[in-house]
Amino acid sequence: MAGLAAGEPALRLEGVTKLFGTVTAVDGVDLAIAEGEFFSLLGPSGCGKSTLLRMMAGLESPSAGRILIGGADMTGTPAYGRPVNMMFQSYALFPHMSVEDNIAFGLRQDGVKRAEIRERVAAMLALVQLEGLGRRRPGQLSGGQRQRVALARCLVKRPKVVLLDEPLAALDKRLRQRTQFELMRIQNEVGLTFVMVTHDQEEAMTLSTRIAVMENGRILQVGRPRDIYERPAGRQVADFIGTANFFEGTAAGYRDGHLAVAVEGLAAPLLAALDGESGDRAGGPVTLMVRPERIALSRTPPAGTDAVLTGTVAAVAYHGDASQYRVELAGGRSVLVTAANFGHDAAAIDRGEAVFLAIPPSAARVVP
Amino acid sequence: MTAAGGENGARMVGASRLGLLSLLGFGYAFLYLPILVLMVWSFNKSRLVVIWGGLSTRWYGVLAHDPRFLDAAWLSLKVAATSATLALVLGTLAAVALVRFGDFRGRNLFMALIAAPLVMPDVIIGLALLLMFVALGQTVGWPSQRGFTTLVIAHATIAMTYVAVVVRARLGQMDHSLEEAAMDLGARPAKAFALITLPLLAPSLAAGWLLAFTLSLDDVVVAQFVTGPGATTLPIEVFSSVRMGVSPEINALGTIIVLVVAVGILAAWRLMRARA
Repeated sequence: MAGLAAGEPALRLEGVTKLFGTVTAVDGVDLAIAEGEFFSLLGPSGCGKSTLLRMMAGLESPSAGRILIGGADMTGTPAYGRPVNMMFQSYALFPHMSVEDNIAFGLRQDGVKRAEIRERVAAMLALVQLEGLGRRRPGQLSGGQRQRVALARCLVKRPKVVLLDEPLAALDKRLRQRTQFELMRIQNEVGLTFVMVTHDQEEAMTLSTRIAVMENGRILQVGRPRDIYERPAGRQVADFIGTANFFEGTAAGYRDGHLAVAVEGLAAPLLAALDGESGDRAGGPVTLMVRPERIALSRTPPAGTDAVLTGTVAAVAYHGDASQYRVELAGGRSVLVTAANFGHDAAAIDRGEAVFLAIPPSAARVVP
Repeated sequence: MTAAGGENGARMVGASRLGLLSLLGFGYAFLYLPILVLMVWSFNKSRLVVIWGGLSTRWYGVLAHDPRFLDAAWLSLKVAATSATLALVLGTLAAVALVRFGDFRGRNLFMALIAAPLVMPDVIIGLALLLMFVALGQTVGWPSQRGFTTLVIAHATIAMTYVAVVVRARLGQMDHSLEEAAMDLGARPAKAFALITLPLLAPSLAAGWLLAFTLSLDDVVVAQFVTGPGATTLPIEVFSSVRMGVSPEINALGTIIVLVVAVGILAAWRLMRARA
């Protein structure tokens, strides 16, 4: 993150807005992406993330706002004049050219000398581990190989910013997981700034230094994966990233550095971490979020001061390493709980069993 | 029951297959028997068209030394090649506009105008073009006479529609992000079109050109209207000589034309399939 402090960000957006007719696709987005970052735009389909990426590439022009690349205003610069390269979701490899010619295309447009082109293309083929396949046509490659050609083609010009539009979406799940590590290694090796669009929160969490969560053309939150997961800026973010249980209640007061929240239907108040927030919430309405893996599940009443709830297991989803339980509480409310399947009392808990849920004080977070 | 049913079924399948085959045979005969008859008669030795006088290539020899037909054939080829090329350029531009320029104002009108010559009777098109050429000649002095130029313009007008249809279909299937990728990698729009779009369109461009070429080579009706003295295309020449009485020479010429057109259509079809 050293790049953040050192001068101009690689990419800066100021109030970028895009209208398609009367529809606002992107609505006043401000962003600063530092050099060397792996930045993700995360959101459901139709949230404007792809349009935002296309505006960075110069394939769409913003209706309002400014786009600065490396400190230079490039709002009106067309795609062919920008020091950014994009990897398309469909890969957009030129089917009538060999792999080498595909990768060399950008360098040829810049009038790079033949010998240098040959050298840089060979280096790229080595980087993406496709040595020996340079003469093939894209149609003769597997999906994973095509994906790497597309990546090589947008890296070879060493752009200021590399734009990736759902780079892993077309791969099957196993290959996608392997390719995630590949992508991290490559980004590390080339040291370029990456901006990725994805709808897959796991992918964004794995790869990114920072994530911007988008919905309806707006950015809801920007932050490191851990911050977004643990301290979501709102209910939408918490809902989109991972699974969450929400409890609405009234702030009853402060206790041991925590906020005590009385929730209707729960015998004991829930204690929420304060996260250094000041000000008095007492008496006001509060929404709490508890991640399913932070709730402890047991057959016997747990010891300690945790808020303890009782309920019945309504459904069990077995995932191998862990299971997810839907527990119905006495008041009719249901809570999702995730528990590991090994070395744990919960391992054999079945549908219909009566269980105890313990929510430790630090597990509950106040959702703004 | 099952055995009898099976036997019955097999017999029925056999019968229906026979029925289908004869239907198919009838269909093909209906389409191609007349042409076959023409081709066979072109090798007739006799001067009389309907009396078989033995096998001979005599009339091909006569045809090869007949300046009337040779001049007409040469003019027809020139008109066909020139108008096909013009139609290719115009039709491709129309297709690009329709597929790539989004929902521009007047797009539907433009689409309807492009499709109009497809359904308009040739007589009307021919007459309309004639009136326009006459009016143009009187007001601006061009074209001063009707002939090669007016033929090319008329045929290009009709054929560009067909080119536009063929090219548009291919362009519509093409991933637009290919051009975007080329521009993203530093190619200006015109260069991206030349380096990426054109090579990928090539099969349908060739198909469109061949289609336009054969359409022009075939045309009698429009050519009758827009041509002038001294510029007689092959189909017109054939038509007028048939009215004087059919000479076996025409059969020979007809056979050659059928072969040229068939090869053209076949090539166009193969090219369209090649990339699909």
